[in-house]
Amino acid sequence: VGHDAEGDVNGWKRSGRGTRVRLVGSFDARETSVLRGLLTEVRQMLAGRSADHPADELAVLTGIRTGPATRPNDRVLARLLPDFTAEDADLAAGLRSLHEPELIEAKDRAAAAVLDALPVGGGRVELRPADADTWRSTTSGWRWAPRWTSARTCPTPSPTTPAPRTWRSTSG
Amino acid sequence: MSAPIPAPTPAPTREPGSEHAQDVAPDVPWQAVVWNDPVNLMSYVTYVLQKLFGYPEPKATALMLDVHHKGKAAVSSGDKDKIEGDVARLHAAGLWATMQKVT
Repeated sequence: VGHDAEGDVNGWKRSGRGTRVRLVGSFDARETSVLRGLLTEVRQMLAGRSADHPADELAVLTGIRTGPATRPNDRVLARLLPDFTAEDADLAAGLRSLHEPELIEAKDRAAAAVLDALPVGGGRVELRPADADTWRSTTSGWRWAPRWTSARTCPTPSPTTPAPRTWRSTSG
Repeated sequence: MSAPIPAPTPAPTREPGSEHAQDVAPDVPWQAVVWNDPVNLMSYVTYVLQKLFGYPEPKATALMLDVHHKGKAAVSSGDKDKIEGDVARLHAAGLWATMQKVT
């Protein structure tokens, strides 16, 4: 688990009350460009995984989709789409096949929502609390992606790994 | 657009009111385990545990610190179906989680 860096959360400001609560942040052009690039890359990876295992006729007919039973070779994808268990290979394969399409869809939908909200060229971002949850789950998925995509090596987990200050707002 | 066909549900494995119920070994409980990774921030892991399981903040923080210091922590337990769902939700939240039988 990474330590929280100052500014990670505090870059967002809360405004409004009740159902009108909004979290407001802002991103400059460079930040926006990096984030959009990452999100786009993750969406492409997820789409590639789906394309490798297209829905068959039965799935189209029944609406019951199944995914691949094997873990992705790519380390980033393998971390985005983890095994369900390490104890039982058959169970892991079965549960992956059952759950992976839905997980890919959820992650892609979340990444697309964040992309939609990020103004090209930078600017103000205003989120409802529910949107903020989407942003949080999405950032946990891709904020480390470049570390792995550039080196293609698994980072050694370290409790002292500092948190990248990706989320620092420039407006604060 | 055709109406979606509901997924098949497993047949009940025990007859209602079975007098043999006490002879049947209880389901082996399963646990959802969250593993340490350098990716997710402390505050985020704590937040996810509160949100998904409704844990009070001190409990969620204690579990997060177990993950951080011990490398992993069992964050929920129950029957296999429940834990499978819990792990799926943890994955959707971006946490590295697996399920295992309680030994």
